[in-house]
Amino acid sequence: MAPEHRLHPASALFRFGHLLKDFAFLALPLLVAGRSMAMDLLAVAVMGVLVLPAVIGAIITYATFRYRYEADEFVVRSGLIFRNERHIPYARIHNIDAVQNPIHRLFRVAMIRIETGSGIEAEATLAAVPVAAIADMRRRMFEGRGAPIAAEEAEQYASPVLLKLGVADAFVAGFLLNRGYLIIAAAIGLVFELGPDDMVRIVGESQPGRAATAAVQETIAASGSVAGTTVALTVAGIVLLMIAIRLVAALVLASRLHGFVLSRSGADLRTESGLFTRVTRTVVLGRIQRVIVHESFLHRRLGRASIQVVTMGHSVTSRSEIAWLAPLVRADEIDALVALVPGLATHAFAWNPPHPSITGRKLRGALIGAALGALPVGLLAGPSWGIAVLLLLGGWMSLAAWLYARNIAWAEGDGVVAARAGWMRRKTVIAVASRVHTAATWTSPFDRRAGTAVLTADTPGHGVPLQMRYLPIDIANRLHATIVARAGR
Amino acid sequence: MTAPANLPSHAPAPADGALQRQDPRIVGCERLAGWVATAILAAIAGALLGIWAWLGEPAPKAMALVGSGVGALLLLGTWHWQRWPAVSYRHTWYRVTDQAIEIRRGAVWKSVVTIPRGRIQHTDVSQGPLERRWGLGTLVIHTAGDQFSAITLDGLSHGEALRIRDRLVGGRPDDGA
Repeated sequence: MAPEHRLHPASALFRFGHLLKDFAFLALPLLVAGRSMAMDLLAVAVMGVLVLPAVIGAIITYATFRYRYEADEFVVRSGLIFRNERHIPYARIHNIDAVQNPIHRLFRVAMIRIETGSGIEAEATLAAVPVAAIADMRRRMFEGRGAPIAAEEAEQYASPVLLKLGVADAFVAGFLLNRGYLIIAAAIGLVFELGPDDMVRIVGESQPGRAATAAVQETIAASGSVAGTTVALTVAGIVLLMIAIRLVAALVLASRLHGFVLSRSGADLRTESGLFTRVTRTVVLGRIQRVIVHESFLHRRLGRASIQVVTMGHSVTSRSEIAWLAPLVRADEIDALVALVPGLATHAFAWNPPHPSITGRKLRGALIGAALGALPVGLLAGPSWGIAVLLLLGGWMSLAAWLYARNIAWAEGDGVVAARAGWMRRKTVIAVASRVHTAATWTSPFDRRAGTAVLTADTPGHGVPLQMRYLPIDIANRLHATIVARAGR
Repeated sequence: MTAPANLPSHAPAPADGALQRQDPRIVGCERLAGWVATAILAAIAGALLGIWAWLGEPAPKAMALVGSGVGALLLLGTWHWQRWPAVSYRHTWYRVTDQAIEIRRGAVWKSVVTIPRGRIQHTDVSQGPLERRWGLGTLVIHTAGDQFSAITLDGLSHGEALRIRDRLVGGRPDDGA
């Protein structure tokens, strides 16, 4: 048996901290609401009952946790009463991630996540591994795959850094890629935690809050009604607030993308980023299932793109966990980066337009939608309002339909399939045809009348699917057959 | 497992590549399942209406309006379950070839789903209580994919479902995804 290794003793601390974080939601209401002596005592008792076993549990986990490198598998052993031994063949490992928050850095350790194709959770999580041991771990795991790198190939990657992001780039990427949901979700969470009444009380009793309430009351009293300027001010306030939220969220994401470096080590790609919490990802090139190129409206105005890779084991639960191959690159650098993925190297494919019926169909849909939206307004508020809504809504929806039709495209190349859709948030999905697991063709009655179909080429990994819409039916059938013939070969 | 005696004698070879229909008994099975569901809904709706009439003291006009609305919905449900299983049966086909299994469904929104044999992770054959009564089974094909990680083909005779399963998982190439 190979020699066994233990985690860094700090792992007990991290596990304990993790458990505390899980219990924090219990403690918070107690701290806020606990005004009486009895409540405080109860809070302490609850914390004692929960915390003490957590401390003991964390120590036991640390004391029993062992890992070792066998010839062709990684073995993790843990548990005192219920013992568990997990064998992970090196050949099945898809990614190795290392996460270092400031406390990790203090102890010179990192949390290691080992992911295989098994889906939602990491196959093994090592709470704290000394930084000095990580390089050795990567080498053992990836050499254990039995695919040694040829000497000349290794030489080729002598200068392995492929992409570096500056501070300004990280901020631009943070601005382009966030949608501010994180902050909104946190705000909603806070309201729920404190309760809306408390929020109103806190805001209303503060000095500025009282002044604002008085000002609003005075305005309404003075004009006798809510005047147009008030409405305009409210709208302006909401817009400003949304911009502020987006900027704050951009800063949060920029701190995660800070110092992003993409490098190549043999058959793997490695990315590193983060100002406070440093995340190092190792993605096995041959395990990349599809590549998604994000080119939003703003991206295109700036001549930039963001490139995401989807792997099988990677569990993307939130936008901040997306595995970026490149959070921000110039549009002319896209091809070179996509070509890093084996099989996409010869992706000299030409984009093809969708079926010509698309523009008419999308415009008809837009006009019907606008008419349906304007009808109730016209009936309730009078015909002039209805016509105004019809013109505005119809104009906007028609423009959106026309832009959608202009931006949609499909492509097939040397063993490669690709689809592009969207204009506000345009996404291009590229996959190696042999990676496809299921081919599906859909037709609605409208599709059949126009002679089109929707073709989905399903590959593993969560994210935007590879879906070709408004595809001429004969091409859909041919691609469907081609994909099935190539799949798994 | 079903005894071989339960297999229909005219069962075609599962992998001859020809389009196959489901077992026609699925129509009766789905019809009954739909009616049972409608009956349960009707019982719940009746109970709620009863409670409302008893405790809420609604105006007779409102009661009649809501009651007839619910009744119409239930009639529509009954009619749907009378008609739909046969329509669905007419539009469902499957085909097993050496390369893949193909499933075609849908009368209005039509789909053709093809799963290459090399991409099948594992398959399940399940039988609900109604399916057991008719000797039917449902084949569930699992892939490592994202959108189509589990694809079901219902309305097979249980023996046929088992035979397709054995055919699909036996001796196939594997590249470890």
